[in-house]
Amino acid sequence: MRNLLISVALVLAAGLAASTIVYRRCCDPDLHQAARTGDAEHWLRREFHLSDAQMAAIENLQIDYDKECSMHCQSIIQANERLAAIRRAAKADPALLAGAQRVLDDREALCRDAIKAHLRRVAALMPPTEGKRYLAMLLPKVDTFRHEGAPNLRLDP
Amino acid sequence: MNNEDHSLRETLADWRVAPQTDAGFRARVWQRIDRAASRESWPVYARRHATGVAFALGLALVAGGWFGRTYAHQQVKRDRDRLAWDYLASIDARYQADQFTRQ
Repeated sequence: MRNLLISVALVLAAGLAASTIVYRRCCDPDLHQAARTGDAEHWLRREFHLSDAQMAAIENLQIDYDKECSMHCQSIIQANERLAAIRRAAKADPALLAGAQRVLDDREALCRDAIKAHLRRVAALMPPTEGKRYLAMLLPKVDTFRHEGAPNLRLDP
Repeated sequence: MNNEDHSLRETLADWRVAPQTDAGFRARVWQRIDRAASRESWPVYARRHATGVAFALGLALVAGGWFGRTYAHQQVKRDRDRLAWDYLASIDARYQADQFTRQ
């Protein structure tokens, strides 16, 4: 019985050791650290094999885009608030409601187009194959945005 | 000397052993064998069960390796998904407006 227990313990230890060794060989501590700290730029640089110069150019583009993004954000917030106010009204006028919804939809469509244009500009700064991969990964996600929750960003097709 | 041998032979020829039947004899023999087996060291035990021990160890190594690899790949995928989401969220005014509205 004692030897059987020793055997079971050794087998479990061997399994655990194998699991740990293979995990350490296959995992990516650098990527994990970036995910924990939310360092998306680090991911971008690594994922698409960008040089310092390419990354600097993308960061400059991002700074310019941030201003445009803030404007879109403000306009969407305003449209959202107007729609919410109309909905809160005791007797919401359906025409008014539809109009406010249309304004919100239009502003979101503008924002969506701006994101796509920005992604294309960023892709143009990458090596061609990486740029294609970047667009293939991110462009479809822009369209699948849902207000009910975070967009599905799973990288699987 | 010959007389002594002859006498001994006769004595042995006349000797009859009539042991009493012992019902627990066989069980006690097996108990002693089991006790001896339980006192054997693990290397001896492993040699005696070499096939089983080797099979169990091999299976544990393969299963452990497979689990470690799968878990690591899932972790990498989760991290990539999360970072891609963080990146897109940082440039998506719709998401930022949603976050503001929910506050």
